[in-house]
Amino acid sequence: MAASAKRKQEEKHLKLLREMTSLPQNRKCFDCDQRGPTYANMTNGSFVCTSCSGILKTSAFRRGLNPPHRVKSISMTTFTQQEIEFLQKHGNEVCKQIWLGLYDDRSSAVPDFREPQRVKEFLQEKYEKKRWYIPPDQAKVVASVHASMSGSSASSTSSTPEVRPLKTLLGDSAPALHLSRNTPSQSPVVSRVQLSHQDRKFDLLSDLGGDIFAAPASQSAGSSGFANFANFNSHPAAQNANASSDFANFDAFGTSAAATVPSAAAFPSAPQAPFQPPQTGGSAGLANANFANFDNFPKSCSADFATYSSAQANCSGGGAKADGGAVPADRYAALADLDNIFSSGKTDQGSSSAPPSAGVGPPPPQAAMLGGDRYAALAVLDTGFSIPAPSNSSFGTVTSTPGAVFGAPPGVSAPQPQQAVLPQGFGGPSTNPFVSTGIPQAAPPSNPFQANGRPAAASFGPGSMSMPAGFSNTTAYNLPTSFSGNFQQAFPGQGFPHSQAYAQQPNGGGFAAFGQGKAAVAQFGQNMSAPGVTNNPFLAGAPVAQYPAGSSSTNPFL
Amino acid sequence: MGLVFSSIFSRLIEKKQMRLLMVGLDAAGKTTVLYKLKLGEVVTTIPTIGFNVETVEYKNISFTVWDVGGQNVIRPLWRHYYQNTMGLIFVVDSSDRERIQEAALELQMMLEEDALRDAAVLVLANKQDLPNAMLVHEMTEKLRLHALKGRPWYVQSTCATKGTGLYEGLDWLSDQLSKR
Repeated sequence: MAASAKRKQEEKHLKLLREMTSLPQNRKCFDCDQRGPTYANMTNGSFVCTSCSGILKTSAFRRGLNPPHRVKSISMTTFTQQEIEFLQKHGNEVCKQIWLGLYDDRSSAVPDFREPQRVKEFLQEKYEKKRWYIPPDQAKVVASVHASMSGSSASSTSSTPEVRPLKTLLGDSAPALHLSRNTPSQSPVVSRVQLSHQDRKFDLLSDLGGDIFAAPASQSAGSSGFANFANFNSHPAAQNANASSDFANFDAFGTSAAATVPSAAAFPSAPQAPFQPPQTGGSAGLANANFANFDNFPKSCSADFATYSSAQANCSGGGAKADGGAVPADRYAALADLDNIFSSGKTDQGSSSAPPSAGVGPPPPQAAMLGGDRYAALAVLDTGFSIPAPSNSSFGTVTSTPGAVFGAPPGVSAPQPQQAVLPQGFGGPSTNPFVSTGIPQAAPPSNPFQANGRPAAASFGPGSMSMPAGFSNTTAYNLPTSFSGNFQQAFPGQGFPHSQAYAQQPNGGGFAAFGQGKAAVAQFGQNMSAPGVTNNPFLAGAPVAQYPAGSSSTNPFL
Repeated sequence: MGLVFSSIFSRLIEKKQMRLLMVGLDAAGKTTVLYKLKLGEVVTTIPTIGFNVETVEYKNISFTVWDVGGQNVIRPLWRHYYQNTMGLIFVVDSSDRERIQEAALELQMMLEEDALRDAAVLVLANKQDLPNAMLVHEMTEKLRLHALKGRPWYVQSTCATKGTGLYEGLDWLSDQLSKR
């Protein structure tokens, strides 16, 4: 009894920990920037990689830090409640403001993790000499100033005292991809979104989103990444959407889509078969209707919106399947459908990628594998929308305007009101931004994501990480490659790289599961670590986490 | 005749083998101890996942030292190394007062194992160079070693990075071996 309670507690802690480690700022080693931290530094509450944990914990004179830090393996130790809380309060972002408060990213770079000596010296500077140290109380002030300077709204910072907006991280280096043309009229939309989603994940997302699209700081609610979506068309009609939902920004796009249709005519019209009747999204039921659009939506981004609307009509009829898990799957239907589109047009592939088994909570790993990796951007949105809101009401409305989203005539969208009932409002609207991003651009790229994806590639990866629960980390690892610009080539066959991953793990004799590189001398159990070898506990401990490229690479995220 | 000769010869020449298991809480310094013994130098270690094993030649005895990771989730794996272990080296971070009770508990649990009933216990009170490190008598008390009956035990203060105390520990172990 007590034991099971304890185990339960430990599982809870592990889950919290995994969530923490999948936050974008915690995805890199705090001390050397290597991706995929495996240890928690219990002295300052940051997340670090294995090799840095070695340096940190080493108490030896001349060999480590004085005083040494205490590190705990994320996967191989248990954490107490206090420790979890400590980590939650800190994390890399907060630590950055404290320990690297005076550090200028631009003038000097964090040493490469392949140079252990430099890392060590860096750590000595950082922790022993406290060269960049700012006392925590001051650090917060600095951070908030920084945040507001970089366009984060005060509300978002204040609502997340423990997690600093990503803007402080990325703000300076935000890619100058100005997709958004602001119209002042859209600001209400944005603020509505913020109000209804003031929890930290959303903030993270929005901050990130802001970076992704390089939302200008002048934007009235700068920190909301979705504001950008609202701006995609920068169409006055967007205002109509304000009233409809928190996703008004999407609606904004949607309503303006009507106006977009003419412009879409400028696109090469879609040559493909319109809509796949056997709704490949599978279980998605009604929500599929929305995503059906994407079936048509082009391998080449060439479809015009007229196609979409018709697709919708089809789908709402054919998509419904009797499936208990249908509702949660809806969220990924979009992914699934997009999956179809991008995976060399195999439309029936989608049926496999639409997870029928999802609980309302964390989506099934398959979704992440198949859909998530390819559509990290969608994952970002998806999780962004679905997770932070325990109540679905805020999203409900969005689905009531799917027709508008695609500029479909009212008649077409009529069959879909039911979607409003679905817990995940994600549906089409959230995917729209990416669709739509293609539109404002004069020359439609062959891939609807490309317009965004390429320039913003760096931003998308981390972004997806901020929604841990949504994809149970799997997406996170999969994501980065998904924006390499070529969807087809990046992913075939990589959906399930487990076996590869494990095969390449060096095994300690006794612990098949715990192979580990070791920066010591030749040993039986553990192989030498080429400095880059990642000892990622997730590989061993959590099969769900896979890295698309297999684990032999030193860094799964690179 | 030849047999007698060769047995005498091998007695003189052949090294004795001693299998040692080195355990302890994480970050106690086990791996550092191992490589200090093996190589005579301090290596930069990372937390051990799995084990390290090295043979150390000392005093004509070949010590096979198994150094097993000590993070708490992998501690249950220690027992897989108990078989045929003649000596148990329990490494403790002397400066870690917070976890000395945890260490004591682990040690007690281990010593209850039947597979270790014949093992001599060498406690290395490591990290003596750190401020506020527990001394041998305090360590003995905290680990409740006086309660150990019918088993040879010894507490040696060490500083693995400097190498102090390590060979003294091996001396004690080799004495124990020769007594058998």
